[in-house]
Amino acid sequence: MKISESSRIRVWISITLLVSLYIGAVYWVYRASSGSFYSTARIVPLATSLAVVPLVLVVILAIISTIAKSIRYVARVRAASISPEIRETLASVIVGEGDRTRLRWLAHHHSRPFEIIFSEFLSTFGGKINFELGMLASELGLVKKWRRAIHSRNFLTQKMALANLGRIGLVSDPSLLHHPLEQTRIEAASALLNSGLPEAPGLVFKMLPDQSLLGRLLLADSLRPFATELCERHIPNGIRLNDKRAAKASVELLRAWERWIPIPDFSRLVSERDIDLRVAALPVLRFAAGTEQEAAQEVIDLLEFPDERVRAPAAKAAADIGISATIPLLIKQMRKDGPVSALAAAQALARFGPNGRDLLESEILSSSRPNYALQALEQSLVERG
Amino acid sequence: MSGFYHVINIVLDVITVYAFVSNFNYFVLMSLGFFVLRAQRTTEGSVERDPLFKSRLMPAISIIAPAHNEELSIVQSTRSMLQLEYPEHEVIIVNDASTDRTLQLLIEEFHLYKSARQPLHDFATARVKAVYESQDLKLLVIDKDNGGKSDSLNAAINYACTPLVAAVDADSLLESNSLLLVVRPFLEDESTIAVGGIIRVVNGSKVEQGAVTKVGAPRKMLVKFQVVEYLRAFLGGRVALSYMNSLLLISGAFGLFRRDNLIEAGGFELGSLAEDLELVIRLHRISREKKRDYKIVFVPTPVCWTEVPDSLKNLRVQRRRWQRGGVESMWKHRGMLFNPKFGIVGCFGMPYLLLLEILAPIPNLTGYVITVVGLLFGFISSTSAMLFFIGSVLFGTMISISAVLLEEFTTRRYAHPMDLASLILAAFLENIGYRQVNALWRFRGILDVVRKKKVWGKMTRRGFVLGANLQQSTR
Repeated sequence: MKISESSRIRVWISITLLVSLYIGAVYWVYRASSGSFYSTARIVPLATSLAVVPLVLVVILAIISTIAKSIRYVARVRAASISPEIRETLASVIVGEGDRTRLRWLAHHHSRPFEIIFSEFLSTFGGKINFELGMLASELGLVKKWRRAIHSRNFLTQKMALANLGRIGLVSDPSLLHHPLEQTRIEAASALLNSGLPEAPGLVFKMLPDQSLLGRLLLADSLRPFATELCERHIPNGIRLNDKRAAKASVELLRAWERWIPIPDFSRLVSERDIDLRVAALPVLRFAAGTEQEAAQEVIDLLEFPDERVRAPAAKAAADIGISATIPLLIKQMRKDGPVSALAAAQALARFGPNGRDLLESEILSSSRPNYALQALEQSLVERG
Repeated sequence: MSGFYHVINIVLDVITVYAFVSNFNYFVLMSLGFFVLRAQRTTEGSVERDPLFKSRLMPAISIIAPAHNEELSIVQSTRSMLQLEYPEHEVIIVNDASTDRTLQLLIEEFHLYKSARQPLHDFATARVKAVYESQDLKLLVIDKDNGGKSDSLNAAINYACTPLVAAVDADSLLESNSLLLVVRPFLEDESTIAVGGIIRVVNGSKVEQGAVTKVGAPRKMLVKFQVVEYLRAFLGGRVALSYMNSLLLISGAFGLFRRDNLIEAGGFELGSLAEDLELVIRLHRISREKKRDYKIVFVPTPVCWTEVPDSLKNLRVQRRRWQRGGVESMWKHRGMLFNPKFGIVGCFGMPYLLLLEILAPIPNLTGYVITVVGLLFGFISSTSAMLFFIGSVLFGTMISISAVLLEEFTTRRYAHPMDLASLILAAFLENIGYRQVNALWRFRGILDVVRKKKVWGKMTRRGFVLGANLQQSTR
């Protein structure tokens, strides 16, 4: 798991301090015994300080850990036993029938399980219930606690606070989108989108190119409800930009959503870009291109591209969109290309209905290289049951 | 005679210094592992499964698993692989000329048909007799002539068509979310070429329907010793080495690789007894030679459960084989040792593995023999013996207990306090007897290499709970 740069520095500082302390302590023992004349009298304390003293310390730590584990175990058992009551009381308070005093007592005396269950409720419900929960969170002091926890160094605490505040519409600080830790940025972005701030989708879209694939993937999911707005206003600009990363992130969003939202001039926009982006855009041509003709030209161009690695996804796109004009190119590709590209072409042909399957059958009977046609035909028949 | 005794005493002193240096090194790696795990702990649970599980952007994975006479567990482990939470994955089982019912069970249980599927790459392997596929096209079984583990893995790579390939042991169990976790370094950093997950001991845990439902410490002391060993190796050593990008071993039981890099490296080495170690060293070598920015990572959260030997006989066979494989891999890549061209891998990772791991049985065993014989015949001083005992046994005990504590401070998979207490006890006892016997087996492994003895060795497995169930139902 990737850790932030500041955590990386902390790790190195901690290990340097620990090892220095250890070496320092050992050296001190050695110096302290240096008055002795016999070498044995110097070496034995040295060895003892190297191994025996740390062993004793570790044993003490082990005993403390076992005791701590037992205490945690008991606490967990207690939490498990109180959880049903917390759930029940919370549910009845939300619907206006519960005992608020008891709920306050539970929140005070079993704060950890209470907060976890409260968060579960927030993530499960929405709308009016979350509004009620928001009021309750305020009353029980949870909002104040979560606002503080936003700045916690423990990411899990921070994440829960951000998510909960987002669900009750209380995160509206876009500066968190520039937090040094990616996980915090993503969590803040999701919370911001939940908060209903009108400019939130645009702000989150802008931060996409600077995130890792993991970040982009998670944000694509959070941005899904705003797909129409983004396709109209932001994505065409994103592809148009000279920034390769922005264009790639825009196309990835479309791939992640797989929704039929035509983007004006999508094929033309894509075809003007470098080959990597054009290949990345192939799977979404059928969703984003305005017309089939518009997409067809792009696919045909790429099926005629000299690099086999481009022709394989182009073959798949040809079948996805159903461009029958590509059939001669696919037959050529199946006969001449290497295994990956040839198989992709055969599989594409198999998806052109009875006509495609007839072509594969005659290929099996007549060609000197029937393997890929055979595999594609067999897979097609199995898939059709 | 006194000259001889003097030399013996000097040898013992040198071995004592070696023991101190070796254990000090473990201490540093363990501490580094602790700080790294603590830093990672805050982010490990940060991603919910749902968005990853639904996403079309996740790279597809082929799980490849060689199987040779695995009738006891093959159906359950295949089912558990098929049921893993991941948006797009296929399972490729390679039946490496099993003489039992491995293939028949797979065909019957998963309704496989003989498929026309073609290989997409051409690693030379033993003859593929037939390829079987399931109706949903998610399971592929390659039936081939006997060629060994590497040969089977290469055959599976030939048929894999996904960008990522996970090599797993057919008799291991992956946790349901393990693919979603192990893929994460690839998503976080596009220069990642290989990732290893943690291997944990399943003995003592409850297995139901191909999944571990309750984690518990094993009852047998021999197995507990191995739990301590695994914790020390994975949570201490590998976390730290991965942090320094000098991880040399991704366990063959569970590793995820970029297919392109596997193909570029030429796949797994045929005939190797430590094909996992050899491959990772080769990946380092190629990436360093080509001056690429790359990462080989260990992540402690995706868990692969494996059954460890619970008899001395089986354990001996396993350890001798590992040792032979380690020596062979080191010998093959000796050019990387202390070679600055290979950066931290050549200057730290390889020397560490060779001097403090692979060759360790030689000084350790020599030290034990000299100490015992020397004390019996009175030709070594009691101070030297005591120093060796402190450096080797007491320091080692400290490291073993630290490994158990590391688990408790970070991943906390053992829920019950008694499990922790029993593992701490095992860590205490491990250094008295078990380690010495282990050193002897590993020493014999080195001798096997010198004598050019090269056999995989036969191990009998219980097939944990799932195997036992299957046995009842099929007979």
